[in-house]
Formats: sequence, structure tokens, C-alpha cells
Amino acid sequence: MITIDSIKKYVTTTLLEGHTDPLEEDQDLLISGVLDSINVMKLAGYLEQECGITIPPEDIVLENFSTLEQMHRYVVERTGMKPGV
Amino acid sequence: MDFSRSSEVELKYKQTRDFASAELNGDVIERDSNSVFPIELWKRCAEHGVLSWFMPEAYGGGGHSALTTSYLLEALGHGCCDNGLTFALGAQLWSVQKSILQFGTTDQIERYLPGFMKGTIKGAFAITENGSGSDAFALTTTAQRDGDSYVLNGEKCMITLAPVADVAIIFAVTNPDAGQWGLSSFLVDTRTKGLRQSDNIPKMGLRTVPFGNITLNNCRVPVTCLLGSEGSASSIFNYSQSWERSLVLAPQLGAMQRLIDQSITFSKQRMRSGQSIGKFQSISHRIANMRIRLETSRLLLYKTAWLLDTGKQSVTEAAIAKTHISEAFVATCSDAIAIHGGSGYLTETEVERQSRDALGATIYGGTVDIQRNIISGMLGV
Repeated sequence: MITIDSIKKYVTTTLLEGHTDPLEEDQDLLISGVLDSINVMKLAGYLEQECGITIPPEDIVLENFSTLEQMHRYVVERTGMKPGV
Repeated sequence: MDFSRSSEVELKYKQTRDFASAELNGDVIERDSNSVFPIELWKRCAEHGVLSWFMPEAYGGGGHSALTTSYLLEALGHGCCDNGLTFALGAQLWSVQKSILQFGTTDQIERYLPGFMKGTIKGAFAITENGSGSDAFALTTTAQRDGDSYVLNGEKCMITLAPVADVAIIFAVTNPDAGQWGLSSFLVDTRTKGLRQSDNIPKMGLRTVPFGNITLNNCRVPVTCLLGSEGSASSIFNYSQSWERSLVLAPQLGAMQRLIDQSITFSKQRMRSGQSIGKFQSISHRIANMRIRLETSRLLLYKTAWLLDTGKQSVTEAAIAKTHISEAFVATCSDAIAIHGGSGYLTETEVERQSRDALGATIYGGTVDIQRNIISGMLGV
């Protein structure tokens, strides 16, 4: 089961290698430019692989990917999983 | 991964190559010289099925996979010497039709797809502006919501098919505070008041496909013109580009095969010092290199098409395919000119035109430098 922490770990260690500021769960990562287009594509690929889901391109929008919280909520809804911690 | 083909598809390849060779090349030198868009040939290609092969059967299309469609587009490029025509067909298919199919409402799909497939309407993908290009999302065109409408203002530049398009996907800023996530796209009928299409802008190659600007001056469109949701334009762009980058160069595989065939024929007929020039390694090695490039290009494109068919992410593979095939096409054209010597520089040999057309492939759909940015970015560099 994917958790907010596991998404955060992927973002901080793989996508933002060397990023030292802690990421808040409700922090905007897209409009602020913390994640660029390529990182968003990599993140979508990671979530697809980890959760065994397909993320349609029309779902890659602010409402689903702006914060760690929203990403987790989206994946939970997409997979029908119970929310992890 | 399986690239094998049925006998039915092989037959369709031959029929398409023969159709293209017999019907699409008549006055190609004059068309290129005068920058004439062959509208009747566009319609003939549509009647042959070029714009339908990939479309779902539910909408009257052929229901073919990306892999099979690519192979048939390769056949089109093998027979058709007009790279502008084959490029334009691919641009509409992968950027416009595929975007509408993926993001459009049922009403939008049913309104536009039949006309695209029949060749009675043409579509343009209008994102580029003077200040954007490689910085694709740095747009200044705005779409302001006003009741049940959006009002569009701005100018799109260097848009394929813009002077002749009946409908355009227009990318515009709807939320200026949200960067690329504040962009939206609209399906706009080009007869809409406030929209103006420029004349064709002359260019180095691909002269038979019109290229131009679209100006929007208080162009009011209903909210039903929104393609996808508000703020989804960057996803639409990334999605459509992954398809276009992967597959728009399929006809160029056929063009490379055609150049190899032409170079082999020439190298066997042309005599120097009592033997055909093909006996000289400076010639035969060039032809071998052309064949190596074609083989690697085919494998990259087929693999990317297969990934798209299976729904797997293909961001890196699409960028690799786009870079390799476009550069292979340029190198193959240079080799063909070198093999033909002085005659290769002449318009009537038709090799020089291929070379002018080929350079465009390193630019459109994202330059090869941008593709290398994507490849290195995906590697975490």
C-alpha cells in the first residue's frame, strides 16, 4: 500500500536529489515549480508502477497532483485502496 | 515485443506504397517550387484511409494499432515523394485527431472526427508563439471566461496547416498565476469572428504544407469549445507530443528506403573507370550506412509504437526515436547527394528537396536539443 511518506520519499530522494527543505504534505509542488514537467511524468510513471494503475493523461492536473496529499488521495481513489498513513 | 505482421497488413503496405507512388507524385517538383498545398491529394489520402487507419472502429475508423498504422505510414512515405504532404497528414493525425479522441467530449469527437477522416476538414495544433517555441508553455495568448463564453486574444505563430485549417486547437492562459497548470485548450472553428488565418509563410523545405499564423482578436467561443478541463492544456500538450514525437516520422522511414533504392539504382548505372561507381567503397559504404540508419530507425519507431499500444510510458523512447530518426534522415539525404554527385544537387533528381525537407524533422515536434533535454532529464541529470 502506497503512503504519503513513500511518495514523499520518492520525490525527495529520486526527483529532488539534494533537496534539503522538508516538504509539507499540503505544500504546492507544481505552481511553485518544485516539480517540473519531466518530474511530473516520472512521478506518474512511479505511481503507475507502485500501485499497478494507469493514470490517464487527463488526470494529470492541479487537482490531483499539486500536493503530496492530493497525489495520495488520487491514487487511493484510483486503486480503491484504504488510505495508508 | 513482437513486430511481426499479418499477410493482410503486408498487402495493405504494398497497396499503400503503390497508391502513393502512382497518385501522389505527379507534379511534386512544381508544387514544391511554388509552395502549393495539394488539397485534392490530401482528400485522396483520406479516401485511401490514411487519416482513419488509427481511429476507433466505433467512429468509423480502421481500428489499427499504432504499430500497424506506423507501418502503413511508412508505406505512404515509401511511395510518396512529397514529404510535406506526408508530414502534414501525420501532424493532424497525431496532434489534433489523437488529442480530440483522448480529451474530447463525445459531442466534440462526433463533430470533428468524421470530417478529419474523410478529408473534408483540416485541423491545426496551435500552441507556438513568437516568445515560446522550445519554452512551450511560455504563452501570452489569453482566454478570459465571460459567462458561457471564453474570449481569446493573442497570436499563434508557425502553425502547421494554419492557413487552410477549418478548426484549430488553441492553447491559451486561463489562470495567469498557475504557470503551465493555468493553461487551457480550445477547439475553435476558424470561421469564428475575431480569428484570422495568415497566408502561407515561405520556408526552406516541406513547402507543400502551408505554415502560418493565427491571430485572435476578441474571439469569443462557447465554453463547450474547451478541450479537456480548464488547466489541462499542459497534459494535453505532453500527451499529444508523446504520440507525435513517436510516430510523425514514420513516413520518413519510407522516404529513407526510397533514397536507398534510388542510390542503389544510380550506383549500378553510373560508370567510372570502367566499372559502376557502386564498386567503389566510398559509395558502397555510404549505402551500407544508409541501411544501418534505416534499420535502427525502424526498430526505435516500432518499439515506441508498441509501447504506446500497450499503454506503457514512453517519454524517453519517444524522445530517442524523434532524435535518432530525424538525424538519420538528414544524414541519409546527405549521403544520397554525395552518391549522386553533381546531379544530386539538381532539382530534377529530387534528392536536394529531400535534404531540405529532412532538416525540418530536427526542429518540428520539439527540436533534437529539447529531445536530448528530455532524455537526460528522465535519467535524472
